[in-house]
Amino acid sequence: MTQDMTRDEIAALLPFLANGTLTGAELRAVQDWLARDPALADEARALAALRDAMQAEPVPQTAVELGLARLMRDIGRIDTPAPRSMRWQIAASLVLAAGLGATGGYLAQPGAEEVVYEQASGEAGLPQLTVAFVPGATMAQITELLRANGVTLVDGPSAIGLYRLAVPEGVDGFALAESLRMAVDLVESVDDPE
Amino acid sequence: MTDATRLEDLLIRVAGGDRAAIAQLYRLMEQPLYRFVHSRLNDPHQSADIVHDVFLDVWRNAHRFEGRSAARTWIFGIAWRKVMDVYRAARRVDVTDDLTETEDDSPDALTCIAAAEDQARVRHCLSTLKPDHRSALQLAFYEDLGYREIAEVMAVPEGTVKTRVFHAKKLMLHCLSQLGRRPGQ
Repeated sequence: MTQDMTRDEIAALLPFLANGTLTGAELRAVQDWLARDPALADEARALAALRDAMQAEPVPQTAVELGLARLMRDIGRIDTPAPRSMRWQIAASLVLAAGLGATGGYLAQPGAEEVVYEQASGEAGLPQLTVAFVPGATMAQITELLRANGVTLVDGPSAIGLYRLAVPEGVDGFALAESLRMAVDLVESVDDPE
Repeated sequence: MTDATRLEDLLIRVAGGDRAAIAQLYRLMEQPLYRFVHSRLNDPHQSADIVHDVFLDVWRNAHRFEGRSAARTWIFGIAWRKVMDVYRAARRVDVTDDLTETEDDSPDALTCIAAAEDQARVRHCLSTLKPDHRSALQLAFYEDLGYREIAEVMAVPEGTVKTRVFHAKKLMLHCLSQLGRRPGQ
């Protein structure tokens, strides 16, 4: 069958010659054709250069560890769904024990319009709220809620799914906590400002 | 152990509920998946959420992986279906990338090779492709998938993949050739 291949069919396989995935009879058919068709051989070289250029592009830098912490949190919820009230009690005690805030979270994705995470050290001295979002809340929904309330995320999610938010200067932290609690579709619990 | 067998080994462990394995898998696959999803959605937060959902699906469904396709192909297939769900929900419409042929604008291989050395030009030309064409070419050149694997990921016939990649490479070479001919570009 490969002996009957047309020039267009050979040309369609050139990208797969460039990425090294052609094998057997198809590979031999393409190589045979290129040996007698200089124009296609030039195109094959151009595609190899294009593939090399794309391979050399840096992989986008993402917040891998934050994403992994979020994944492990949600996997934990799938495996052992604890009663809601129990989960919050456990969470609160672990927050106190762990002393969240030693590390700042940063989630500047390539092309992000606005950074909603800031280094914890950048919000030193401001009151903070500890928040748990409902399971299934997406990053896009959380970002929108934070933007709407003018708050920045300084840490999270922790391994147990808690986030810490900085209360902006001049804003009543208790009123802000109440405002966030109103978003019952997204917010599971909000601690009073610390 | 090759990358392919390493991924399959991790998937098997994930199917057994091994959390260390899903963490390893995440560190290996998160960035390529993010690049793939983001190239379609162009929204960093939504793309991060989709990738998160992909790994949740992997956690839930790893036991269904039968090894009939490569692990990488299986995982990219999950990502592709989620991207398509977003498209369907938003009723997004692909823009056209039809090539307008003129008499003297046939791609010149040497000019293309020179232009391809400039990653900004490559990114620009990629951005002009229709999303389905771009995705097929990216799976071929970023992930080094064969056309049969791309067909599995995109859930289309092999001939469709060949056609998409054929158009994509034709348009890419045409675009690079034109940029390469422009002085100062």
